[in-house]
Amino acid sequence: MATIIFFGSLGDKVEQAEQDFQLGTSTKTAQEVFDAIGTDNPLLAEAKGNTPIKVALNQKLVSWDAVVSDGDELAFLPPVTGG
Amino acid sequence: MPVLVTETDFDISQEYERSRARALSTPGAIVQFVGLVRDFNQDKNVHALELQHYAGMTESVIEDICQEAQQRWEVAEPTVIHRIGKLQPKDQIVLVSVASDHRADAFAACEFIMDQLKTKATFWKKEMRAEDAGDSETWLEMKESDRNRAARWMK
Repeated sequence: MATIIFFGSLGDKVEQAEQDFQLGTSTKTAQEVFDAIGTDNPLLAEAKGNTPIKVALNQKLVSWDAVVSDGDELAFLPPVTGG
Repeated sequence: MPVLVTETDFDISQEYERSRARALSTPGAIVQFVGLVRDFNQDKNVHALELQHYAGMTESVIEDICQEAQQRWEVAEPTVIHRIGKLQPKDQIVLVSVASDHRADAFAACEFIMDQLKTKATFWKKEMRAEDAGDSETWLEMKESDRNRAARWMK
């Protein structure tokens, strides 16, 4: 099981901004996890087309094809707006 | 505490003294930048900003930015304080404080840290509105001008 976190505007598009995700037996990439959650969530799938979302695995930026393992924290980050 | 993410406001004179004390030699220059919450575009329905961040990652991203600044310029360990939670117009939102032997390095490092922070540090702002139809919230979007400013520092 991995922990998935959606930040900023993405958090409003999912039922829970932070959620547990069962990875199952086959390995999954960040892309596959996002797509799996987006399958029954058109708002989320649409957001990916409109916004350059970054991926953080255990708080480090990674590419969308990074492999997610049990115990990992996977976060999806829309463009930041601090400062 | 050179990097701090907090709901509490900061005291610029206290941070000035800290920067002065932290410099290895007697610094010739200290540059401090303070960012304030801007007016909400005359939109009277907006009553506050709220800042979310990714605890842990935010601090490490800012620490990396500060380290890069120290590699590029001769500056002492910079201080960065960034507020989260609910903020009002004119509230202090961010402080960058840099001490150096020379003003050119202090100016450049301070500007570099702010430009990088705007495009890399994991903060997200939303505007809170009160309207007749009920309360609503809008997430802000990154500005193209911020992207361009950060890109200027690419080697």
